[in-house]
Amino acid sequence: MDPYEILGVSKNASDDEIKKAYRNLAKKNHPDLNPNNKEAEQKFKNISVAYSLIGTKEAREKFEKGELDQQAADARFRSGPFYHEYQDSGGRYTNYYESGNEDIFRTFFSEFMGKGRQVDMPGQDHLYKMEIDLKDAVSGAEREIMLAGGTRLKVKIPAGIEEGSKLKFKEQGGPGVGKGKPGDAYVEIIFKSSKDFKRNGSDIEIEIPITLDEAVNGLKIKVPTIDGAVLLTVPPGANTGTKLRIKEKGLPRQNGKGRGDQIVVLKVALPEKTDSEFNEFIKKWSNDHPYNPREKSI
Amino acid sequence: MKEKNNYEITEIIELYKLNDIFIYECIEREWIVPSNTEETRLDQEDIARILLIKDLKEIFGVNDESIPIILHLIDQIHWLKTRLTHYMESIT
Repeated sequence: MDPYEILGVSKNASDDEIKKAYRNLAKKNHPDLNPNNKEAEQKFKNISVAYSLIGTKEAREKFEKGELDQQAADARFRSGPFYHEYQDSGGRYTNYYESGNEDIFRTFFSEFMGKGRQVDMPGQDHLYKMEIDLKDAVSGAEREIMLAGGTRLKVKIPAGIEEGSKLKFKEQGGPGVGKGKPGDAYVEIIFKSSKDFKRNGSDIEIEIPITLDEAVNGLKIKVPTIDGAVLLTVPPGANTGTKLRIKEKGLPRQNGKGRGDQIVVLKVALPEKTDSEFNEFIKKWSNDHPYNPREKSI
Repeated sequence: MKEKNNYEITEIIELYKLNDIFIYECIEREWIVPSNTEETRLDQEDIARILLIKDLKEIFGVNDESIPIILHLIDQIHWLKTRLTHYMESIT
């Protein structure tokens, strides 16, 4: 990529000239001024990459020395999301505008269809998305959201709710026209991702490290669940990858009957630092009891 | 797990190279109105609006006083477009 060519400036152009050229091209091709125009969007992206390569004195020096390439620029440039993508078919901010402005629409259509003619039209349904913790999905919770129009709405999340459920709030959507009823508001429930708990259907998986001693001799260990910590018996002879099941500590089942399980996947962890006593003991033991864990896979 | 919709402000700063003062300014001035009232999490619509505001300021040279007027006009156009589509669907 030649950023000078894309911005239409010479290699000797001043920083101000580059900035001016970028602004002119960006204004012309901005995706929010050219909604659904893929060619303009691509041009805007190219212009943005070019400008991030030579738009500042520091970046330009690096580019000239070959220290800043397109890959680095790609990581920094403005690629979206673009506003029209979310508002073209009625986004939250479009709905926000709607509150208190429905009269404009009524007046417009009364004029359009003839004075005195009544226009009746139901209001639009509004959809909101709410992310909740896995724990709240199991136990239920109360949260609050800001509706389009600025009013706050208390949302009671029932215990055992499934992901993707939509809670309906009657007549909390857009206002109707004339005798039209207001639309409804829907709150779609999405579960927050967690770095500790992985979902597998209604089961939850968690990886728990155990010591060599715990793996060999077994022990009771404390394991976190979405309901709080529980004691789990690790049987003697456990290994990395051993799966233990804790009943009914998962998410609500899709059929509404009970909860899934929590699967604890064990991972044997050696001490971070070992000493000669440990190393010699293992070596001696291995010599006396040779085994090949890769035997079956070779 | 469904596509992620909400982001922590710290994630947004990292992903979109925005500065936190600018994001909080957008919230303070009510240029964006997060639907999440309890945590500092923004959705894709909030992020797209913040990026549009950034472009208006940096590319188009719009001053702070004009931002809410422009946003209002943009929302008005989107609303009219949506409402007209809805209306046409209801009479056909």
